[in-house]
Amino acid sequence: MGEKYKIWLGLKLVAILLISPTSGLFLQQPLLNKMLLFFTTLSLFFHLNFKTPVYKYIFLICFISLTYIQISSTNIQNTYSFNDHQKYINQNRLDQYPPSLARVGNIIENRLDSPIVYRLRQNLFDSFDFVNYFKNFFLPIFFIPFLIGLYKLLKNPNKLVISTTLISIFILSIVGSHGSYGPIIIFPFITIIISYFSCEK
Amino acid sequence: MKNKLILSAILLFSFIFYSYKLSSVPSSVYVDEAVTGYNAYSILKTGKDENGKILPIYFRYFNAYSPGLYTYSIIPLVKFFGLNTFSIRLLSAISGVFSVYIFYLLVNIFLKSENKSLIAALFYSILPWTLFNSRLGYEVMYAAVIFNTGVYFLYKKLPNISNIGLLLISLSTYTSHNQRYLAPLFIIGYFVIIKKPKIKTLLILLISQIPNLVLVFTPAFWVKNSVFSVKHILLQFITYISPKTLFFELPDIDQQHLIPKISILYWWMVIPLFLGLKKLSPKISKEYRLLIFWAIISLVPASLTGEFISIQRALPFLFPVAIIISLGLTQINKILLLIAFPYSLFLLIRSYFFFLPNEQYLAWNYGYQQVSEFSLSHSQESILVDNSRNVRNYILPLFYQKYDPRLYQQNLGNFISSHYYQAPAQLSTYKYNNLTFGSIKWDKIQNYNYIVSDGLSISPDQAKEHKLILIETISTKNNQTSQEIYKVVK
Repeated sequence: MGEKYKIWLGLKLVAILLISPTSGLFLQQPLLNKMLLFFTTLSLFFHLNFKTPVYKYIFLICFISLTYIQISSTNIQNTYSFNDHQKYINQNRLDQYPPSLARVGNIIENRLDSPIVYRLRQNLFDSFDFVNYFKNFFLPIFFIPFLIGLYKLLKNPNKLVISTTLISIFILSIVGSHGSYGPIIIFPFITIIISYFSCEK
Repeated sequence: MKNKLILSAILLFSFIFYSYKLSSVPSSVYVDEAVTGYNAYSILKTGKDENGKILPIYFRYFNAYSPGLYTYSIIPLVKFFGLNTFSIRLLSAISGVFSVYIFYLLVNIFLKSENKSLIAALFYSILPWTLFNSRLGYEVMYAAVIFNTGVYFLYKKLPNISNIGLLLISLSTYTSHNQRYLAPLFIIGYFVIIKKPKIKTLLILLISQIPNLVLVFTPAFWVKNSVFSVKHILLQFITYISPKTLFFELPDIDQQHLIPKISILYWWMVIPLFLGLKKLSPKISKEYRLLIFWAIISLVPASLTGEFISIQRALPFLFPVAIIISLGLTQINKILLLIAFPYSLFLLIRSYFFFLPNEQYLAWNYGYQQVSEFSLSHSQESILVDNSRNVRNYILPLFYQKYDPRLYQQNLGNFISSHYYQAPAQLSTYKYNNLTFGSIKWDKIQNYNYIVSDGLSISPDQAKEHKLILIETISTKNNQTSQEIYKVVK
């Protein structure tokens, strides 16, 4: 398969992923988000395949804008609030420590592994929630090229993709994935990883 | 010599870890454990299962038709220790220890370093998934260890074919539903990836599968099969492989499968998993190709069977994923690993030995031992136990009372035993001794002296209307109602 053909195939994949009404990804977003998603993904795709600096700058500008949308559309207070049931469970667990270990229990349950630490961990793994992504935003069939693409990305890591993906995961870990538009900041990277399936060796 | 001592210490530690408080953690006997134990007891006493079937290949077990090797294997333990929680869970604990040993041998093939393999085996021994399944009174860990030992023999003899390895994998199909699906897929893949088999090998496999082949055309063979769409199967597969499932929170609807505040692998292991995957990629030798194939197909049985997520069906995935994580562990700084080990062990002990027995009472069928004792102390009076939310609960007093299997079989009649593999429908009412298990029919409650409900079937108004007096509430330590016993006023 020639290099040009691979790029063309990858581009088609990106386009299908972004505009396919069946994927649910594009339909759920307002116009500004649609445009940002489109340009973030395409600029990263072009940067990876043509290595032209201008695409990198366009990508970074779009990525920063997406980051802003992700943060501003998420109610962070909700992310770190706990309902009565959660408080009851935490107190119940604290009560399970024997009296002689009550102080240790308090340090562990309320500081080292407090509900907030637990919530941060929950946010982190929400950003790795493949079920959510491939059930609600991408067609499940794209999971197979995603796995192959991820494998190829790990084999030939690209600094820009890896670093911005990690930044997205970090942001989602802090603010949570339950903003008005979902974990929008991660979508371009999932799309790009799927396109790796065809484009990279 | 030093490494052998360290390995022995790891195995000793594993045995203590998997057998400590084996009778009391988890807090009571689950129906699947009770049915396994009682059927082993029934075979021991009568040569027949609870339904009166002589030495079945698959046990009916609530219409699941489970392969019976685990049940047969615990008979000596039931004979020696008696029918109790310890005797039915002990074989799983021993299998767990053996799985640590096999894991060490297998991971050494990939790591090619005894020191690194010992570290990997130590971390494997404290995985929540390993501990949890090594303390269950049914077949999952036993089946996995037979299968994995077979895989080890295959790897050991590469590039030649190991008939012992293939025979063990074939044998595992008589232990669990998982392996019945997995073994043929694995063997076919093995022949394609590694080497084409000789006629002799195929004949050995064919002969070892005669009991399964005899039953392949009966409904009992296919009871766990349903037809699902490709999308459903794919989504199931994605759920099992998702890092959120593996490292943070199980989407399993069955509370009995869960350990509070921990998933099946430690959250920090997501890092060695990705490092391990990266390390896999440049080395596409036959060994690695077989490992990748093994990892993928080990989730096929879980993805194909059932509408819901059941993490126990995904247990075959444990070994390949733990090997990949081990490849990544070797790239992590030793000081970090020295911190990670006690931290992980602490998380596990806290969740498994403290939170689980205190929070998961109801999921583990707590309360039926007390119901059994009540029934024995009121042997002249008839008792109705409501089973509208748990039609399988009849097995628990059979287990706790060590009820004479001959009497139970006589009472049941011979319809089920004579149509055994035709998978006749599960009964809705069971009777033995002074106990009847069925749903409450208000016009017939006067036939009973006592009614046992799970706390949801009888409201205070209904109790008043039907002249029922609450005489005892069986509660869990965290004040959840397990069972309520009502006296019927005549």
